[in-house]
Amino acid sequence: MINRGDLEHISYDPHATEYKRPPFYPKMEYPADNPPTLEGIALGRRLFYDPILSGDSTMGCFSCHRQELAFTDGGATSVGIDGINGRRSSMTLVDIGFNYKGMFWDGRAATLEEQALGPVTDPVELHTTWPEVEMKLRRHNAYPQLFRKAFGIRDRKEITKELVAKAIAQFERTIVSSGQAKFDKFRLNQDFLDYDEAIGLDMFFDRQPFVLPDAQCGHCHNDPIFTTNDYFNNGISPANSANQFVDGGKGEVTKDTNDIGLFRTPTLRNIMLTAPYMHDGHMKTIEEVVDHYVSGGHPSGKRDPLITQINLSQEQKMQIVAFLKTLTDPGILSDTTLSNPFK
Amino acid sequence: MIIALLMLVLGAASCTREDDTPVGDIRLAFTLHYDGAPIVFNQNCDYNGEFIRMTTFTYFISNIKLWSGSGAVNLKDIEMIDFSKSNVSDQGALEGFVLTIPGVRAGTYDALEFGVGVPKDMNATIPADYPSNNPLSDNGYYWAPWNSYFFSKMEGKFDALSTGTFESGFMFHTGLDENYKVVRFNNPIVINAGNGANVLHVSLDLSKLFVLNGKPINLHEINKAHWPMNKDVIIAITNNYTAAFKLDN
Repeated sequence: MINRGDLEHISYDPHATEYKRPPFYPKMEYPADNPPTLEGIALGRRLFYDPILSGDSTMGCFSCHRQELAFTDGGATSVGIDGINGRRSSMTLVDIGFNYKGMFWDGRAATLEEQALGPVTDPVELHTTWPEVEMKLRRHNAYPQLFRKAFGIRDRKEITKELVAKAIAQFERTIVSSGQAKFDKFRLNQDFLDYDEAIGLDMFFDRQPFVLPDAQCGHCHNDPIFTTNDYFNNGISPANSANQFVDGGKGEVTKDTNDIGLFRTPTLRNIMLTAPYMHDGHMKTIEEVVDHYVSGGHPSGKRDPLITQINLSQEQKMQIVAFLKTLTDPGILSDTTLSNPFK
Repeated sequence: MIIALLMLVLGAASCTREDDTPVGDIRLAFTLHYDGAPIVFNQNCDYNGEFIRMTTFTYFISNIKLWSGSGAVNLKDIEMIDFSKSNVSDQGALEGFVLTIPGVRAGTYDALEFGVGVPKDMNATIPADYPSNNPLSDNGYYWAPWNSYFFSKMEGKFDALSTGTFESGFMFHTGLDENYKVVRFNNPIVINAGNGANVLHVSLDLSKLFVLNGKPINLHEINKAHWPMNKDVIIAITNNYTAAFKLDN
């Protein structure tokens, strides 16, 4: 006699899909054991917005990644269910599926699937345990069926943290730029940039080297995603030796002293929505950020060689900001497939 | 006994091509040094009478070929040599960045050849054209204003203020079709059948690379090459490849 699982009476017929992208983006890659399906993405979206993942059922992924703020939270550092501040700022999830160089500011998770496991148990974030979450999901009146439809499990006992992470990762890979940012429309010959925006663009990517100064932004914030996802010390700390850093960044993960003080470069897409800035959120405005890079930051033996003083006038700094504003993507803010399904 | 015989046959078959020609793998070991002293990243290394600290040293290598009387054998289309993955310790710097190419026909060849940079046909593409496991997929190595990949990035720090803190940086980037260079070593190269049997040591000497108008580049005066106004530095560095690369076998 074969034991039948309690979900086997529900059909399992997942619908394969592909992640959308603007025409000038690369094709997104994903783990072979987690291909996107409509059912997996829908489950991931629900889990993303469900406070069931937190210890007191008040917070979830959505708490630190709000659609109206380009999936950041607007705080200098994020606050968990116990009211405790974390030490780093929430990173945007826009275009995160195109990052293959490690997740978080310090790269400590290789994939989105691995990343999604972390905040649930982090005491300064959702502060619960996976057995607790798994139990709540198995007892839920809707989730067992949804896991069945997404992953073909035979029995609710097969709901695991790994499947939760897979579903959330599938949803997060749908958080992709829409191609409706003003700069993207300009690229597609659908809109014009005004004078200041165009001059800002030229300085950002050094398109007129004999006429305008190179603002040197493009080295680390290269087109089309406006990040290389590489790790740098951008000179915000005066620390000269590894033990002087308040936050060791990537070095805390790799245990390599040469990686101390390195943080992943975030995308500049939607940058006007993701203040405050830097990994510790200590810069309140984009003007402060531009001033920092123009100054060359703190002289330090740990500062990356690419971070040097830049000669920009006040007007030129304003023009850089004008260009950055063209990277705001109204499409991603209004995309109903990315919004809270419980509302 | 039968199993042992089978294993022997399978083992022998793995060292031959389909046409029964014996094959071996080649380990191309790329090293970086300054006048013979291996360069370890983030550590003091000699440069023109002072110390520098290297933080980035990468270059694309392409169209790797072995030449013999019967023509060229193509070994690999494109690869990135990234010394940040090897030169992080004394031992790593000695061993260098190793590129293993399997299945090369055993025999004697007359020359090893490769291009430094991205050849014109590939340089007409962009990172979005490639999957992430291709070295050309990295958008940090494409510079749209040039319509070109960066062929190499050489970055580090020097102690401009003599404070011992190495607060000043240097940055030399190369690119553009006209700076693609082919390096060829006309040395007899014997490739033996089997794995691990063939190691070719290709070294790059910084003391011969960072040379402009016959003199070492003075980092206090010239520490950036990325813009058209620095093209003489970019051209000089790429013209120095022939002198700076050496096949040490």
